[in-house]
Amino acid sequence: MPDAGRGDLLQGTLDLLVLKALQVEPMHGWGITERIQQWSGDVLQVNQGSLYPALARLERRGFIRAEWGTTENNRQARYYSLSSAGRRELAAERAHWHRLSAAVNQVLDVTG
Amino acid sequence: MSLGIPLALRELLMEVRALLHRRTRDRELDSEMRFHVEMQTAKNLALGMSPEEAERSALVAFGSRERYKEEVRDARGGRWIEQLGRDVRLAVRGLRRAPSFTGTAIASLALATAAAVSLFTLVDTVLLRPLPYTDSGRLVGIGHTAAVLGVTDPGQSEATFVLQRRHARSFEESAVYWENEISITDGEEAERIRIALVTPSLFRVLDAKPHIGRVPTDADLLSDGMSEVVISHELWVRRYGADSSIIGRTIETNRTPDVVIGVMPADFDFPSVGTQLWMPTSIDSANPLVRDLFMTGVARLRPGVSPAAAERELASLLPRLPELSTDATAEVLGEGGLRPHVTALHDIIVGDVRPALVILFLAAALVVIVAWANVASLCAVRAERRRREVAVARALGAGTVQLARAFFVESLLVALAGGTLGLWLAWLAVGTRFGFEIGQLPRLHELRLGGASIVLATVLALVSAFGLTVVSLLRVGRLGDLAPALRSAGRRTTASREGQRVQRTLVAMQLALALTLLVAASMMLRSVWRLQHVDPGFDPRNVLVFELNPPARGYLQYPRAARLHLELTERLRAIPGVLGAEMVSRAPLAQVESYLHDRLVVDDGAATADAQPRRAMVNFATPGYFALMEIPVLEGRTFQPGDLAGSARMILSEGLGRTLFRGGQAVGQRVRFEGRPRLPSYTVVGVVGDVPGEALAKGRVPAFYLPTVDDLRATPDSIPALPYVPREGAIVVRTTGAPFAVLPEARRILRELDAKIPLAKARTMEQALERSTARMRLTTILLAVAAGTTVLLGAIGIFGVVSYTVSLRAPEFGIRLALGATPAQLRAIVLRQGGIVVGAGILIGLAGALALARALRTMLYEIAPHDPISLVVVPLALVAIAMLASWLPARRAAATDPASALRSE
Repeated sequence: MPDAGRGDLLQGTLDLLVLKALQVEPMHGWGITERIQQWSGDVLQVNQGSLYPALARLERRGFIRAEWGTTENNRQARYYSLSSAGRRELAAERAHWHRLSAAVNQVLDVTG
Repeated sequence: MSLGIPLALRELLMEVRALLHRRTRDRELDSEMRFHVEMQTAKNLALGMSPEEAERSALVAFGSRERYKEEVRDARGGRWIEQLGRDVRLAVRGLRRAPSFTGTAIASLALATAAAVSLFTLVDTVLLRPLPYTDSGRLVGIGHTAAVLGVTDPGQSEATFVLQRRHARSFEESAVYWENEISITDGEEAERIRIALVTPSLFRVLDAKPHIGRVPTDADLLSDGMSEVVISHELWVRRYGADSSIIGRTIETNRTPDVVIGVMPADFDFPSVGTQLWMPTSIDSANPLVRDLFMTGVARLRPGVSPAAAERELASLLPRLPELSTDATAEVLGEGGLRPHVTALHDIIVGDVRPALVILFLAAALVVIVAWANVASLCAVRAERRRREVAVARALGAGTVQLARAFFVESLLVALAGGTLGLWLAWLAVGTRFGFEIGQLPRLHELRLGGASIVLATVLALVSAFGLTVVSLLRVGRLGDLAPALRSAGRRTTASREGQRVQRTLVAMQLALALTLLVAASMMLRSVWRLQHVDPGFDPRNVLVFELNPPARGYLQYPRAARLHLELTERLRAIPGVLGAEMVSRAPLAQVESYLHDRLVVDDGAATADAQPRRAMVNFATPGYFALMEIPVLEGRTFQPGDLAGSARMILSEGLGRTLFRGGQAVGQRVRFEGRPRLPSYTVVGVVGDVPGEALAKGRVPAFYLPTVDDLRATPDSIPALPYVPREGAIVVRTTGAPFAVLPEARRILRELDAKIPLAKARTMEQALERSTARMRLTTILLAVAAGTTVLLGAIGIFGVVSYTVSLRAPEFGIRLALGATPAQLRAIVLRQGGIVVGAGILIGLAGALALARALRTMLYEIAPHDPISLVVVPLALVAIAMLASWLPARRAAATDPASALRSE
């Protein structure tokens, strides 16, 4: 049972966020963390290390690809990018998430 | 894109890839994570933290790197292969630490696998596999028995074949053939080959296609002139250099030209493996021979017709035989004198070898069972010894599944090692064809280790692994046994006592089986020894024998052939190193299809004489023959010059003389050929010792000898009418040194005399004797090996069981010693326990031995199935071995130090 602290993310949700983060352009691990934090307005504090198992899972399932590249600072970093299967998965999971959260909201909005 | 690949396969690929790249990936991950932390540190610095704080904050924000590394590794996969690798390494280490267990187990399993696979291959090839012809299930052989004619060789006569072809509806196609030997007389060196004379329909019956050229058709029979023949692949390669221009070329057989129209494929071996040439022959349907059943019939049944139905149809047709021939016997035969037999071709080819194979199969099965029992009990002992180890593992949380996996990996390693070794042994055995020669067993040339054997070996290995795992698990006990096991390696639990009983039963069974095999092997060994030491009736040392087969053409007149023999022997005698050279029409132990025989009856019945006609082999011999072979002349004399020209004279063999004259004097008496009134009666001038006929084991054959032409100037008119003309014959040469040394010179002399006559079947008498005992020797060797192995395994088993009992009871012995028992008494206790097991095993084994001996009866030579020596000496020997195996642990028991024994409890 994962910790239900503020900002800690369930496994599946983290995967979804990673896919979204990579939708625009390929990025290395640290960059992904930054991006998610940026976009979420610092609400979601990704426990940085947990990114890497998520990346490994996604890579294994074929949703993302990885290759070594150079950063602006001329450092070696591993860049991840979405595969076409990944794009499809992103769309599907996104739709699923919307349905789920809509349902939860509905329940929570019921008065009484 | 990996879209098309099914998920499971992709998973497997990823596992393998992950495993291979593990170390690289680990390093990469490490640098990735370091990069991440460095970037975060840089960001913290930019936000104004001090360098140390920036780094610390970055590390904390990241979290535990080790933990995440583990998670990544989990996510990547390759885990279970890693786990398997670890299991295997552990198992190997464990096995290395117990070399005697590992070695014995692997050796036992190897033997079991080798025995099972070799026997399976043998039985499969010889008995089970269908014949290599199209739709071979419908092929049948046709023959007849004619009790009224006293004919023992069933077959077809021309008349029966014509009848069958004209009226029988059960067969799609039918043919007849018979075999012969001829000389190929073209080229430099004449050669003797086996041929088959066949009706062209034979190739249609078998659906046999030639390698090149064509097969004969009925049309070929109509053409006058040369025979259109088909030759074998082997002959084509060997003698004609695989030259494709052979088609249409003329060759010469028995000095007559034939034209080759086709070459058969290399694997076509009908009717025998050695058939080199097929010559089409026609059947005279206008006036067919009736009573000469010398041909073999083969046919293809129509679909849906059974051999029994075909047989009934043939029987119903037989009364129509008289329609075909004016021969008076046709009616007798047609009215029930002749019985047709239609048998599946497969059964004919394979038939009488079944008993020998069944015996070998049983012996192999015994070896397999004993080996398995041995390994099982070894495994059980080993599992028992590891109880403490297992208990500790359990206490640390290992479940039954983990234990089972560990045991299974270990058992599988042993089983696979044993299986591979066994497969290799089987491959060796099959490669040497078990030492058999082609022709000793039917279809032996088709023997090879196929995929089925590998599958069998794998299955055996897996089954063994499973079985051993189960045995180990059972012995290690249930989970509840933890506490006592941890305390004292569980020595006194009831499970171990029960296990002891099982083990003892196993060992007793092993001993029983070992005894059975040992007794059988002993009987066979004694048979072989007897056979090898039987007096052959002549001196076989340094004697060269070869055969001459002058063709009819040019040798039709008897004196011509006799002159050839005389000239040849005279020139052979001139070779240095040759002590003598003589001619005889049939040498002892000559392998021939059939030999000439006739029936003699005593003339002017003397009082003591036997009035019954006696069957005996016909033989011709030169005067010096008996002396050369050292065949004793028991009465009278050998032939002299002039014996042929004078009144008819013959020499009898001892056995024949005894039956004809009932112990009375034979020399001077007269005998006649039964049923041949035109021949004169013959005077017996001598009696010589018997010699063996075709096989040593079948004993000596009664024979009579007639003199040959001894005068080079003899003409056909100067010799009296002979009952037989010995055109073919054997030349025997006794040499001072190695017999084969004179062979090249002999060939040269023969070539000078007549280049078209081959020197055939050159061999020494000693070789012939050896060949006579070959098959028996081989079965004996196999049995002896099997027996020796089981005895060894049994002895190891006894040793193991008794040792284990001793170690189990060490504390008890300590107490006994402390209470005043003597070491000798302890020894006695152990020996008695061992003795009970041995006794039980021996008793059961004796019963089995008697049964196996009855089954072996046909193969024994002058040894009874209840041979007392084998049945008494062998069990005693086994008891001695077994008691010796018990002695060592017994001595250890007697040497128990009471103090330490009690302390270990």
